[in-house]
Amino acid sequence: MPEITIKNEKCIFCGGCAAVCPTGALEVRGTGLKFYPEKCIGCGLCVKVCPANAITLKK
Amino acid sequence: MKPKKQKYDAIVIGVGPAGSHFAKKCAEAGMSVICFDKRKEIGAPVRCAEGLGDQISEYIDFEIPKKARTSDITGLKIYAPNENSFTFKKETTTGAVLDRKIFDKMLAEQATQAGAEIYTYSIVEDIIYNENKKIIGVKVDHLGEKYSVYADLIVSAEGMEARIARKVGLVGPANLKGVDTCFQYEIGPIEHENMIEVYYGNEIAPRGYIWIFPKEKGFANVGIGIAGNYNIEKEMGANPKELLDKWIEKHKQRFKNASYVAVEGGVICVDNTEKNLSMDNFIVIGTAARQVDPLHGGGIGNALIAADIASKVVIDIYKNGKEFDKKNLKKYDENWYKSKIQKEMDFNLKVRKFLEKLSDEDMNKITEIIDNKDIDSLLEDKNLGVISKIAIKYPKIFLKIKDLI
Repeated sequence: MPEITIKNEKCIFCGGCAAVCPTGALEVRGTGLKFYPEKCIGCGLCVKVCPANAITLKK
Repeated sequence: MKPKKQKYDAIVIGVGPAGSHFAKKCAEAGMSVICFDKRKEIGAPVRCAEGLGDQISEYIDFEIPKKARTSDITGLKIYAPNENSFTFKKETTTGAVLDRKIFDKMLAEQATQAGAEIYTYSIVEDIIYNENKKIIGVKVDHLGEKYSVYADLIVSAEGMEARIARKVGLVGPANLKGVDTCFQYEIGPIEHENMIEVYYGNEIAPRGYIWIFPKEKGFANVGIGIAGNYNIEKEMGANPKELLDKWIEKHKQRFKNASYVAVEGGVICVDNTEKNLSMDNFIVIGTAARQVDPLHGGGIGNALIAADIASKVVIDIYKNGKEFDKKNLKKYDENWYKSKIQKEMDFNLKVRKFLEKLSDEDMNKITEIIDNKDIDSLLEDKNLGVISKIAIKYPKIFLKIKDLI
Protein backbone atom coordinates (compact mmCIF):
# COMPACT_ATOMS: atom_id res chain seq x y z
CA MET A 1 0.00 0.00 0.00
CA PRO A 2 1.40 3.43 -0.88
CA GLU A 3 1.97 5.66 2.03
CA ILE A 4 3.13 9.16 2.67
CA THR A 5 4.91 10.52 5.69
CA ILE A 6 4.04 13.98 6.95
CA LYS A 7 6.71 15.80 8.87
CA ASN A 8 4.63 17.82 11.28
CA GLU A 9 7.56 20.01 12.23
CA LYS A 10 7.76 21.23 8.62
CA CYS A 11 4.05 21.50 7.77
CA ILE A 12 2.71 25.06 7.57
CA PHE A 13 -0.92 23.85 7.23
CA CYS A 14 -1.47 25.63 3.94
CA GLY A 15 -3.60 22.83 2.50
CA GLY A 16 -1.84 22.90 -0.86
CA CYS A 17 -1.48 19.12 -0.76
CA ALA A 18 -5.21 18.73 -0.13
CA ALA A 19 -5.99 21.04 -3.06
CA VAL A 20 -4.12 18.86 -5.55
CA CYS A 21 -4.80 15.43 -4.03
CA PRO A 22 -7.04 13.70 -6.58
CA THR A 23 -8.74 11.45 -4.03
CA GLY A 24 -9.21 13.67 -0.98
CA ALA A 25 -6.72 11.63 1.05
CA LEU A 26 -5.39 14.76 2.75
CA GLU A 27 -7.26 17.36 4.72
CA VAL A 28 -6.30 20.23 6.98
CA ARG A 29 -8.31 19.77 10.16
CA GLY A 30 -8.08 22.15 13.06
CA THR A 31 -4.38 22.63 13.59
CA GLY A 32 -3.22 19.42 11.93
CA LEU A 33 -2.95 17.72 8.59
CA LYS A 34 -5.00 14.55 8.44
CA PHE A 35 -4.06 11.68 6.13
CA TYR A 36 -6.50 8.95 5.12
CA PRO A 37 -4.21 6.10 3.94
CA GLU A 38 -7.11 4.07 2.55
CA LYS A 39 -7.77 6.83 0.01
CA CYS A 40 -4.12 7.37 -1.05
CA ILE A 41 -3.18 6.14 -4.52
CA GLY A 42 0.51 7.01 -4.12
CA CYS A 43 0.61 9.51 -7.00
CA GLY A 44 2.94 11.81 -5.07
CA LEU A 45 1.39 15.08 -6.30
CA CYS A 46 1.22 16.30 -2.70
CA VAL A 47 4.97 15.74 -2.35
CA LYS A 48 5.74 17.72 -5.52
CA VAL A 49 3.54 20.71 -4.67
CA CYS A 50 4.21 21.05 -0.94
CA PRO A 51 5.97 24.43 -0.53
CA ALA A 52 7.60 23.35 2.70
CA ASN A 53 8.88 19.88 1.76
CA ALA A 54 6.83 18.41 4.57
CA ILE A 55 5.68 15.25 2.78
CA THR A 56 7.64 12.25 1.53
CA LEU A 57 6.36 9.22 -0.32
CA LYS A 58 7.20 5.69 0.80
CA LYS A 59 6.81 3.10 -1.93
CA MET B 1 -21.66 26.41 20.61
CA LYS B 2 -24.69 25.29 18.68
CA PRO B 3 -26.50 27.32 16.04
CA LYS B 4 -29.52 29.28 17.16
CA LYS B 5 -31.78 27.63 14.61
CA GLN B 6 -31.97 24.37 12.71
CA LYS B 7 -32.82 25.86 9.34
CA TYR B 8 -31.36 28.91 7.56
CA ASP B 9 -31.76 30.53 4.18
CA ALA B 10 -28.06 30.03 3.44
CA ILE B 11 -25.07 28.16 4.89
CA VAL B 12 -21.63 29.56 4.06
CA ILE B 13 -18.60 27.26 4.32
CA GLY B 14 -15.40 29.22 4.93
CA VAL B 15 -15.06 32.63 6.57
CA GLY B 16 -12.44 34.29 4.38
CA PRO B 17 -13.12 37.52 2.45
CA ALA B 18 -15.55 35.82 0.02
CA GLY B 19 -17.57 34.05 2.72
CA SER B 20 -17.82 37.11 4.99
CA HIS B 21 -18.72 39.54 2.23
CA PHE B 22 -21.37 37.19 0.85
CA ALA B 23 -22.83 36.59 4.32
CA LYS B 24 -22.90 40.31 5.08
CA LYS B 25 -24.69 41.23 1.86
CA CYS B 26 -27.30 38.48 2.21
CA ALA B 27 -27.90 39.16 5.90
CA GLU B 28 -28.38 42.86 5.16
CA ALA B 29 -31.04 41.88 2.65
CA GLY B 30 -32.93 40.03 5.37
CA MET B 31 -31.73 36.49 4.77
CA SER B 32 -30.82 34.21 7.67
CA VAL B 33 -27.21 33.16 7.15
CA ILE B 34 -24.91 30.85 9.10
CA CYS B 35 -21.18 30.50 8.42
CA PHE B 36 -18.72 27.79 9.44
CA ASP B 37 -14.95 27.92 9.41
CA LYS B 38 -12.85 24.89 10.19
CA ARG B 39 -9.95 26.96 11.45
CA LYS B 40 -9.47 27.75 15.12
CA GLU B 41 -9.15 31.40 14.32
CA ILE B 42 -10.41 33.44 11.38
CA GLY B 43 -7.57 34.84 9.27
CA ALA B 44 -4.94 32.37 10.44
CA PRO B 45 -2.77 30.80 9.21
CA VAL B 46 -1.94 33.38 6.57
CA ARG B 47 -1.51 31.79 3.14
CA CYS B 48 -1.13 34.96 1.19
CA ALA B 49 1.09 37.95 0.36
CA GLU B 50 -1.75 40.14 1.71
CA GLY B 51 -1.82 42.79 -1.03
CA LEU B 52 -5.06 44.46 -2.10
CA GLY B 53 -5.49 47.38 -4.51
CA ASP B 54 -7.68 50.34 -3.63
CA GLN B 55 -9.35 50.02 -7.04
CA ILE B 56 -11.55 47.34 -5.48
CA SER B 57 -13.97 50.20 -4.73
CA GLU B 58 -14.36 50.77 -8.49
CA TYR B 59 -15.86 47.28 -8.80
CA ILE B 60 -17.98 46.98 -5.68
CA ASP B 61 -19.11 49.02 -2.71
CA PHE B 62 -16.12 48.16 -0.53
CA GLU B 63 -13.43 50.06 1.26
CA ILE B 64 -10.38 48.49 2.87
CA PRO B 65 -10.78 49.00 6.65
CA LYS B 66 -8.08 51.38 7.92
CA LYS B 67 -7.21 49.15 10.86
CA ALA B 68 -6.34 46.28 8.51
CA ARG B 69 -3.87 48.31 6.41
CA THR B 70 -0.29 47.74 7.52
CA SER B 71 1.05 50.02 4.79
CA ASP B 72 -0.02 52.36 2.03
CA ILE B 73 1.45 51.25 -1.28
CA THR B 74 2.31 53.92 -3.82
CA GLY B 75 3.57 51.89 -6.74
CA LEU B 76 5.09 48.83 -8.29
CA LYS B 77 8.67 48.03 -9.27
CA ILE B 78 9.22 45.21 -11.73
CA TYR B 79 12.70 43.73 -11.98
CA ALA B 80 14.06 41.83 -14.97
CA PRO B 81 16.54 39.00 -14.40
CA ASN B 82 19.45 41.46 -14.76
CA GLU B 83 17.70 43.54 -12.06
CA ASN B 84 16.99 46.45 -14.36
CA SER B 85 13.63 47.72 -13.21
CA PHE B 86 10.53 49.59 -14.31
CA THR B 87 8.71 51.74 -11.84
CA PHE B 88 4.97 52.30 -11.93
CA LYS B 89 4.63 55.08 -9.41
CA LYS B 90 1.58 57.12 -8.54
CA GLU B 91 1.25 60.30 -6.52
CA THR B 92 -1.52 58.75 -4.48
CA THR B 93 -1.85 55.50 -2.65
CA THR B 94 -2.72 52.60 -4.92
CA GLY B 95 -3.34 49.88 -2.38
CA ALA B 96 -2.36 48.30 0.87
CA VAL B 97 -0.60 45.34 2.32
CA LEU B 98 -3.11 44.00 4.77
CA ASP B 99 -2.86 42.22 8.05
CA ARG B 100 -5.07 39.31 7.01
CA LYS B 101 -5.73 38.31 10.61
CA ILE B 102 -7.23 41.74 11.27
CA PHE B 103 -8.82 42.13 7.81
CA ASP B 104 -10.58 38.77 7.81
CA LYS B 105 -11.80 39.22 11.37
CA MET B 106 -13.15 42.70 10.63
CA LEU B 107 -15.05 41.39 7.61
CA ALA B 108 -16.45 38.58 9.75
CA GLU B 109 -17.50 41.13 12.38
CA GLN B 110 -19.29 43.15 9.71
CA ALA B 111 -21.18 40.03 8.63
CA THR B 112 -22.18 39.37 12.24
CA GLN B 113 -23.33 42.95 12.70
CA ALA B 114 -25.55 42.50 9.65
CA GLY B 115 -27.13 39.52 11.37
CA ALA B 116 -25.16 36.50 10.14
CA GLU B 117 -24.05 33.80 12.61
CA ILE B 118 -20.43 32.63 12.52
CA TYR B 119 -18.88 29.54 14.12
CA THR B 120 -15.16 28.73 14.00
CA TYR B 121 -13.36 25.45 14.67
CA SER B 122 -16.45 23.92 13.09
CA ILE B 123 -15.74 21.58 10.23
CA VAL B 124 -18.42 20.81 7.67
CA GLU B 125 -18.06 17.05 7.34
CA ASP B 126 -20.60 16.32 4.70
CA ILE B 127 -23.59 17.41 2.70
CA ILE B 128 -27.07 16.17 3.59
CA TYR B 129 -29.29 15.12 0.69
CA ASN B 130 -33.01 14.32 0.86
CA GLU B 131 -34.60 11.24 -0.70
CA ASN B 132 -34.72 13.02 -4.09
CA LYS B 133 -30.93 13.65 -3.97
CA LYS B 134 -31.54 17.32 -3.35
CA ILE B 135 -28.97 19.18 -1.22
CA ILE B 136 -30.74 20.26 1.98
CA GLY B 137 -28.05 20.83 4.62
CA VAL B 138 -24.68 19.99 6.14
CA LYS B 139 -23.25 17.87 8.93
CA VAL B 140 -20.96 19.81 11.24
CA ASP B 141 -18.33 18.69 13.76
CA HIS B 142 -17.42 21.25 16.40
CA LEU B 143 -14.81 19.91 18.83
CA GLY B 144 -16.32 16.46 18.63
CA GLU B 145 -19.87 17.70 18.97
CA LYS B 146 -21.76 16.67 15.85
CA TYR B 147 -24.95 18.24 14.55
CA SER B 148 -26.90 18.92 11.36
CA VAL B 149 -28.00 22.28 9.96
CA TYR B 150 -30.37 22.81 7.06
CA ALA B 151 -30.63 25.51 4.41
CA ASP B 152 -32.06 26.25 0.97
CA LEU B 153 -28.64 27.25 -0.33
CA ILE B 154 -25.11 26.07 0.50
CA VAL B 155 -22.20 28.35 -0.44
CA SER B 156 -18.66 27.05 -0.72
CA ALA B 157 -16.13 29.80 0.05
CA GLU B 158 -13.56 27.21 1.06
CA GLY B 159 -10.43 28.50 -0.64
CA MET B 160 -8.00 26.29 -2.57
CA GLU B 161 -8.94 23.06 -0.84
CA ALA B 162 -12.61 23.36 -1.89
CA ARG B 163 -13.32 20.13 -0.03
CA ILE B 164 -17.11 20.23 -0.01
CA ALA B 165 -17.34 21.84 -3.47
CA ARG B 166 -15.31 18.87 -4.72
CA LYS B 167 -17.46 16.42 -2.78
CA VAL B 168 -20.64 17.63 -4.51
CA GLY B 169 -18.85 17.46 -7.86
CA LEU B 170 -18.90 21.14 -8.76
CA VAL B 171 -15.13 21.64 -8.57
CA GLY B 172 -12.27 19.29 -9.43
CA PRO B 173 -8.87 18.91 -7.77
CA ALA B 174 -6.33 21.59 -8.71
CA ASN B 175 -3.78 20.36 -11.22
CA LEU B 176 -0.09 20.92 -10.72
CA LYS B 177 0.38 22.84 -13.96
CA GLY B 178 -2.43 25.23 -13.10
CA VAL B 179 -1.13 26.24 -9.68
CA ASP B 180 1.78 28.13 -8.26
CA THR B 181 3.35 26.82 -5.11
CA CYS B 182 4.37 29.65 -2.78
CA PHE B 183 6.59 30.19 0.22
CA GLN B 184 6.92 33.39 2.20
CA TYR B 185 8.67 34.92 5.17
CA GLU B 186 7.61 38.01 7.02
CA ILE B 187 10.93 39.77 7.42
CA GLY B 188 12.11 42.97 8.97
CA PRO B 189 13.46 45.50 9.27
CA ILE B 190 14.62 46.02 5.70
CA GLU B 191 14.76 49.14 3.53
CA HIS B 192 11.86 49.63 1.17
CA GLU B 193 10.03 52.49 -0.54
CA ASN B 194 6.46 51.42 0.16
CA MET B 195 6.33 49.98 -3.33
CA ILE B 196 5.57 46.41 -4.28
CA GLU B 197 8.69 44.79 -5.75
CA VAL B 198 8.41 41.93 -8.19
CA TYR B 199 11.42 39.98 -9.49
CA TYR B 200 11.11 37.92 -12.66
CA GLY B 201 13.48 35.29 -13.99
CA ASN B 202 13.31 31.67 -15.07
CA GLU B 203 16.26 30.87 -12.89
CA ILE B 204 15.14 32.62 -9.71
CA ALA B 205 11.41 31.82 -9.96
CA PRO B 206 10.34 29.52 -12.82
CA ARG B 207 7.07 30.79 -14.36
CA GLY B 208 6.36 32.87 -11.27
CA TYR B 209 8.12 35.65 -9.42
CA ILE B 210 9.68 36.70 -6.15
CA TRP B 211 7.90 39.47 -4.31
CA ILE B 212 8.47 42.02 -1.58
CA PHE B 213 5.24 43.39 -0.14
CA PRO B 214 6.10 46.17 2.33
CA LYS B 215 4.39 46.30 5.69
CA GLU B 216 4.83 48.74 8.56
CA LYS B 217 8.10 49.62 10.33
CA GLY B 218 10.34 48.18 7.65
CA PHE B 219 8.76 44.77 7.74
CA ALA B 220 7.69 43.03 4.56
CA ASN B 221 6.29 39.83 3.16
CA VAL B 222 9.10 38.36 1.09
CA GLY B 223 7.94 35.40 -0.91
CA ILE B 224 8.09 33.31 -4.02
CA GLY B 225 5.54 31.58 -6.23
CA ILE B 226 6.59 29.10 -8.90
CA ALA B 227 4.92 26.63 -11.25
CA GLY B 228 3.49 23.68 -9.34
CA ASN B 229 4.88 21.26 -11.92
CA TYR B 230 8.41 22.71 -11.91
CA ASN B 231 11.01 19.96 -11.37
CA ILE B 232 8.24 17.39 -11.36
CA GLU B 233 10.75 14.68 -12.19
CA LYS B 234 12.66 15.38 -8.99
CA GLU B 235 11.70 13.69 -5.77
CA MET B 236 10.83 16.87 -3.86
CA GLY B 237 9.26 18.62 -6.86
CA ALA B 238 9.08 22.41 -7.14
CA ASN B 239 10.62 23.34 -3.79
CA PRO B 240 9.95 27.10 -3.70
CA LYS B 241 11.54 27.44 -0.27
CA GLU B 242 14.95 26.44 -1.61
CA LEU B 243 14.76 29.03 -4.41
CA LEU B 244 13.62 31.78 -2.04
CA ASP B 245 16.39 31.01 0.44
CA LYS B 246 18.90 31.13 -2.40
CA TRP B 247 17.62 34.51 -3.57
CA ILE B 248 17.69 35.99 -0.08
CA GLU B 249 21.24 34.70 0.35
CA LYS B 250 22.21 36.43 -2.89
CA HIS B 251 20.73 39.69 -1.56
CA LYS B 252 21.95 39.20 1.99
CA GLN B 253 23.26 42.74 2.24
CA ARG B 254 19.68 44.03 2.16
CA PHE B 255 18.51 41.51 4.73
CA LYS B 256 21.47 41.79 7.09
CA ASN B 257 19.49 43.30 9.97
CA ALA B 258 16.34 41.34 9.37
CA SER B 259 14.55 38.94 11.64
CA TYR B 260 12.09 36.36 10.46
CA VAL B 261 8.79 36.78 12.27
CA ALA B 262 6.56 34.47 10.23
CA VAL B 263 6.80 31.52 7.85
CA GLU B 264 3.87 31.13 5.50
CA GLY B 265 2.98 29.44 2.28
CA GLY B 266 0.33 28.00 0.10
CA VAL B 267 -0.74 26.84 -3.29
CA ILE B 268 -2.67 29.19 -5.55
CA CYS B 269 -4.53 28.70 -8.79
CA VAL B 270 -3.20 30.67 -11.79
CA ASP B 271 -5.42 29.18 -14.46
CA ASN B 272 -8.99 29.57 -15.69
CA THR B 273 -11.97 30.07 -13.40
CA GLU B 274 -14.07 26.93 -12.86
CA LYS B 275 -16.49 26.43 -15.72
CA ASN B 276 -19.55 25.90 -13.54
CA LEU B 277 -20.07 28.02 -10.47
CA SER B 278 -23.49 26.76 -9.47
CA MET B 279 -25.76 23.74 -9.30
CA ASP B 280 -29.05 23.00 -7.55
CA ASN B 281 -28.92 24.58 -4.06
CA PHE B 282 -25.15 25.07 -4.17
CA ILE B 283 -22.72 27.72 -5.41
CA VAL B 284 -18.97 28.21 -5.18
CA ILE B 285 -17.28 31.61 -4.75
CA GLY B 286 -13.74 32.99 -4.50
CA THR B 287 -10.57 30.93 -4.58
CA ALA B 288 -12.59 27.70 -4.30
CA ALA B 289 -14.01 28.62 -7.72
CA ARG B 290 -10.47 29.47 -8.91
CA GLN B 291 -11.51 33.12 -9.21
CA VAL B 292 -7.88 34.15 -8.78
CA ASP B 293 -5.81 36.41 -11.01
CA PRO B 294 -3.69 34.15 -13.23
CA LEU B 295 -0.91 36.70 -13.62
CA HIS B 296 -0.15 37.76 -10.07
CA GLY B 297 -2.07 35.16 -8.10
CA GLY B 298 -4.05 37.80 -6.21
CA GLY B 299 -7.28 36.41 -4.83
CA ILE B 300 -8.69 38.77 -2.19
CA GLY B 301 -10.17 41.34 -4.57
CA ASN B 302 -11.48 38.73 -6.97
CA ALA B 303 -13.08 36.83 -4.10
CA LEU B 304 -14.84 39.97 -2.85
CA ILE B 305 -16.13 40.78 -6.34
CA ALA B 306 -17.31 37.20 -6.88
CA ALA B 307 -19.10 37.24 -3.52
CA ASP B 308 -20.73 40.53 -4.46
CA ILE B 309 -21.93 39.28 -7.86
CA ALA B 310 -23.20 36.03 -6.33
CA SER B 311 -24.97 37.79 -3.45
CA LYS B 312 -26.94 40.03 -5.83
CA VAL B 313 -28.29 37.00 -7.71
CA VAL B 314 -29.04 35.11 -4.50
CA ILE B 315 -30.82 38.09 -2.92
CA ASP B 316 -32.91 38.53 -6.06
CA ILE B 317 -34.00 34.87 -5.96
CA TYR B 318 -34.76 35.15 -2.24
CA LYS B 319 -36.78 38.36 -2.55
CA ASN B 320 -38.85 36.96 -5.39
CA GLY B 321 -39.58 33.82 -3.41
CA LYS B 322 -38.05 31.64 -6.10
CA GLU B 323 -36.13 28.37 -5.77
CA PHE B 324 -32.35 28.19 -5.45
CA ASP B 325 -32.26 25.77 -8.32
CA LYS B 326 -29.70 25.41 -11.07
CA LYS B 327 -31.76 27.43 -13.51
CA ASN B 328 -32.09 30.49 -11.26
CA LEU B 329 -28.55 30.31 -9.87
CA LYS B 330 -27.12 30.13 -13.40
CA LYS B 331 -27.51 33.90 -13.47
CA TYR B 332 -24.51 34.09 -11.14
CA ASP B 333 -22.37 32.15 -13.63
CA GLU B 334 -23.56 34.42 -16.43
CA ASN B 335 -22.97 37.65 -14.52
CA TRP B 336 -19.52 36.50 -13.46
CA TYR B 337 -18.48 35.47 -16.95
CA LYS B 338 -19.51 38.79 -18.45
CA SER B 339 -17.93 40.84 -15.64
CA LYS B 340 -15.05 43.25 -16.11
CA ILE B 341 -12.92 41.28 -13.67
CA GLN B 342 -13.25 38.00 -15.61
CA LYS B 343 -12.27 39.83 -18.81
CA GLU B 344 -9.18 41.17 -17.04
CA MET B 345 -8.37 37.69 -15.82
CA ASP B 346 -8.64 36.33 -19.37
CA PHE B 347 -6.18 38.96 -20.54
CA ASN B 348 -3.85 38.37 -17.61
CA LEU B 349 -3.81 34.65 -18.35
CA LYS B 350 -2.54 35.53 -21.82
CA VAL B 351 0.11 37.79 -20.29
CA ARG B 352 1.19 35.02 -17.95
CA LYS B 353 1.48 32.56 -20.84
CA PHE B 354 3.44 35.16 -22.82
CA LEU B 355 5.86 35.76 -19.95
CA GLU B 356 6.30 32.02 -19.68
CA LYS B 357 7.67 31.94 -23.22
CA LEU B 358 10.31 34.60 -22.56
CA SER B 359 13.87 33.63 -21.79
CA ASP B 360 15.77 35.62 -19.19
CA GLU B 361 17.65 37.19 -22.08
CA ASP B 362 14.37 38.27 -23.74
CA MET B 363 13.24 39.93 -20.52
CA ASN B 364 16.55 41.75 -20.16
CA LYS B 365 16.33 42.98 -23.75
CA ILE B 366 12.86 44.38 -23.21
CA THR B 367 14.10 46.44 -20.27
CA GLU B 368 16.76 47.93 -22.51
CA ILE B 369 14.30 49.35 -25.05
CA ILE B 370 11.32 50.33 -22.93
CA ASP B 371 11.51 53.59 -21.02
CA ASN B 372 9.27 55.33 -18.50
CA LYS B 373 7.26 57.02 -21.25
CA ASP B 374 6.36 53.57 -22.54
CA ILE B 375 5.32 52.60 -19.06
CA ASP B 376 3.01 55.62 -18.94
CA SER B 377 1.39 54.63 -22.21
CA LEU B 378 1.05 51.05 -20.96
CA LEU B 379 -0.79 52.43 -17.96
CA GLU B 380 -3.10 54.32 -20.29
CA ASP B 381 -3.81 51.09 -22.15
CA LYS B 382 -1.99 52.25 -25.26
CA ASN B 383 -0.11 48.98 -25.54
CA LEU B 384 0.39 49.05 -29.29
CA GLY B 385 3.12 51.67 -29.38
CA VAL B 386 5.19 49.79 -26.85
CA ILE B 387 4.63 46.47 -28.54
CA SER B 388 5.61 47.80 -31.97
CA LYS B 389 8.80 49.19 -30.47
CA ILE B 390 9.69 45.70 -29.27
CA ALA B 391 8.59 44.22 -32.61
CA ILE B 392 10.95 46.41 -34.63
CA LYS B 393 13.96 45.75 -32.48
CA TYR B 394 13.35 42.14 -31.50
CA PRO B 395 11.03 40.37 -33.95
CA LYS B 396 11.56 37.07 -32.14
CA ILE B 397 10.08 38.47 -28.95
CA PHE B 398 7.27 39.99 -31.00
CA LEU B 399 6.31 36.50 -32.20
CA LYS B 400 5.76 35.59 -28.60
CA ILE B 401 3.93 38.81 -27.76
CA LYS B 402 1.44 38.74 -30.65
CA ASP B 403 -1.05 36.58 -28.77
CA LEU B 404 -1.67 39.57 -26.51
CA ILE B 405 -2.87 41.90 -29.24
